[in-house]
Amino acid sequence: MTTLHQVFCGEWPTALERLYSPGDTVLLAGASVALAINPYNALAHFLQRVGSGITCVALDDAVVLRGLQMHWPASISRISEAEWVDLVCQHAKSVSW
Amino acid sequence: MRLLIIAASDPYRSQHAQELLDAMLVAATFGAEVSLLFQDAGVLQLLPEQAADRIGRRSLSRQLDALPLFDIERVYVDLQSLAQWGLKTFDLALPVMALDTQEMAALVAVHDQVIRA
Repeated sequence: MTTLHQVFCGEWPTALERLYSPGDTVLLAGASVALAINPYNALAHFLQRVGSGITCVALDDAVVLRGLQMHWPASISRISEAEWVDLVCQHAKSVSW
Repeated sequence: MRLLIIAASDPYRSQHAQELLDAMLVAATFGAEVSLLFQDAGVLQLLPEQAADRIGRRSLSRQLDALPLFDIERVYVDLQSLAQWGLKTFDLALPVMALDTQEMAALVAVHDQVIRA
């Protein structure tokens, strides 16, 4: 049973790391998308620690709204709102941070 | 009166950034000498190519282009905040002066009022 972690806040919620299980997905939405452009912050360290098994995606609207597309890392896919709905349906639970 | 505005909010998470910009332009219109410092998530307000129309709002970076029309020409950015986002001054939509901690303390000291949001 997997969880979709929906992160909205501009600071990385470190408690998420304690609730994360393999197979979970992390979705960056709202102000949290800016966390992805810094390769040295807490999000980047978390992704490095978890390794290649984690799926981390971001809401494209939130990225483009802020003009972050020029700095966007290739390792984090951008998804549409429809794909967000699909993700919610694919996971047994959703948690908002 | 010398007024220092510190813009520290994410550009679109709330209305704070827009309201601070509006307040700054009003202050400048009424004769205040306004300086502007971007800090923390406020640095993101300076990124070009924002698509604010996606949420029915006006682009902050485009509005900031109008600052010289209001005689607001002293625009600064917190060097540490810039590094926090992995950005350089040339990534930004406006020419800004990057300040270290000591320089920011000196900046605050020479202003009569400081508003941070």
